Amino acid sequence: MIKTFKNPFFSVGLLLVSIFAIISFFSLSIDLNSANEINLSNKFQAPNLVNLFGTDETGADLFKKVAIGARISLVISFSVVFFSLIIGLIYGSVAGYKGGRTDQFMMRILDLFYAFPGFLLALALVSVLGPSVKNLIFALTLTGWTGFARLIRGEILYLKEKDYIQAATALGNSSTRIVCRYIWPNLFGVLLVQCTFSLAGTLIVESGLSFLGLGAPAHIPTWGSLLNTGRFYLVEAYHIALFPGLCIVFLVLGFNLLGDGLKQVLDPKKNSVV
Amino acid sequence: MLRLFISRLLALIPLLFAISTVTFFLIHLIPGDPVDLMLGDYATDQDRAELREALGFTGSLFSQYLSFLVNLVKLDFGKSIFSGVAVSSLLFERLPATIELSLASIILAVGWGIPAGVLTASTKSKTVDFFGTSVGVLGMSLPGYFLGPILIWIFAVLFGILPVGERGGVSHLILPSLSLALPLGAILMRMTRAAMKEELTEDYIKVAYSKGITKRKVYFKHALKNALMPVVTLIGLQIGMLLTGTVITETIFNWPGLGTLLFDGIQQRDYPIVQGCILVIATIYVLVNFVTDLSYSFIDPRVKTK
Repeated sequence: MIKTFKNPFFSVGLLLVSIFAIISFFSLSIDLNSANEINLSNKFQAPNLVNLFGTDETGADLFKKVAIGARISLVISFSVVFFSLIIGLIYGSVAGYKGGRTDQFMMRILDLFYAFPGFLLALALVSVLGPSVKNLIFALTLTGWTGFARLIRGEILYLKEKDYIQAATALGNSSTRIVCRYIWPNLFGVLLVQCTFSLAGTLIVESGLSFLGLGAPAHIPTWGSLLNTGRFYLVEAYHIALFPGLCIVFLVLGFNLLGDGLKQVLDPKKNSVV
Repeated sequence: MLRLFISRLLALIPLLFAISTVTFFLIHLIPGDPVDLMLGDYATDQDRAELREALGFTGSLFSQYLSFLVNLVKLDFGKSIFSGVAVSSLLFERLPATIELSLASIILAVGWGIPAGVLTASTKSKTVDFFGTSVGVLGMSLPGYFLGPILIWIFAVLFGILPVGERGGVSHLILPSLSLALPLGAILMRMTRAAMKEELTEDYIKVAYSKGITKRKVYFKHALKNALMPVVTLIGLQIGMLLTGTVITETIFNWPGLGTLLFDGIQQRDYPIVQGCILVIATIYVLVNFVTDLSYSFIDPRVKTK
């Protein structure tokens, strides 16, 4: 445990993610309407003590909007990774443990999902379903679960040949019990690493869709939509693009560092080069 | 070799079929009537009927699907709702710009990512090694849609030395391709670095050294060749990502490619255009994966026998 915290990647990553978690917790106290309040006499203010990140083109405080954006991004990323993990765990376990024809058939279906570029599918889905947080989570889960399913299936194919699983089978345990009690606990490390990288990936795609106006509805500030607004005012007020952009980079960086750190700690021999 | 090629090629057919099916149902199973969505509340029944006719939304879903497939084989993607121009001609007009941007980006990314990976993997200097690690993880975390505005700010707003937007000479290509190539190259560097470091600990490297082969030859001829396998997979995957990534980059830089066509199509709810763009991008994606798959057997002769 102490070894984990001593890992520089892990601790810096944890610090970054914690900062954003705290900001988004406090953003719960910010009223959405007050954050969106238009005050044109106050527009394009550079960062100062009253408006920490300055003000945007409507004169609203950018820090408040960025804080709400943090919450939206975290909620979406964690929900997507959670649902993807559950679906992937069930799908991958059934395919890997059953093997044979079932496995072949299930993998064919998975191949179809892989054949379709994920970002494009998510983009098409959201544009067809309309922008909302729920639709975004749905679209990103639909493209995100395949990575988990493939990874889990591979791990299970390898684990089920182990002696202790053979022994558990010989003792008459049901397959559900073997998978849940004896196989899943062994996947913990691999899945934890996959989850952190997946959080980073989801965040990038989510912000990208928001950037294109295909994320949350327009009145909800997201990092992507703020960044998109900011790029039109680079000359007057570069800070409108800078702060949301930096937030995306730092949070994604936090998740990636967490993943690298965990990978090094959990599996010091294999793949530890970063 | 030929048999492998043909069997892989045949495997593409169900895949392309599946892609077109998914695309069709994506557009046609929209909750609510797309015709209502497009025309708004004030349209007359005649307007609706005309648009339905124009879109081919008449008859049962199955018959619509069949005629969609038949038209697809004839490369007929329908007509744009807004301009009335055939979607296929729009696609062919826009495709070169996207290919140009993607190619420039991939060349730039491979050009700096792989050498940087080899260099930072083979160094004994701690600073260079740390630099490699930092650039790798930072590049992974820096999305093109943030890098793009930064580059515009630095090179177009502050210094005013590079143009933004529209396709033109090489100078127009620099900023958009950089904003795609820098993160992409970082990912390639990370992968090359990891694979190289692993290869350099293998026994055959020691053998090569003991035979008196120069360091450079050991790195580039022995280690890199073996380390390249996962990197090639990654390049293949990344080209696919690049194609979809261009939707955002093209929008930022006003690049007249498939990405902006798709984006404008989405904005205007011009479904034939959206459908056509998705089909073309997904098809290129599948073809790139196909070529990547085949390239394994050129790089690693062991794959052939499998």
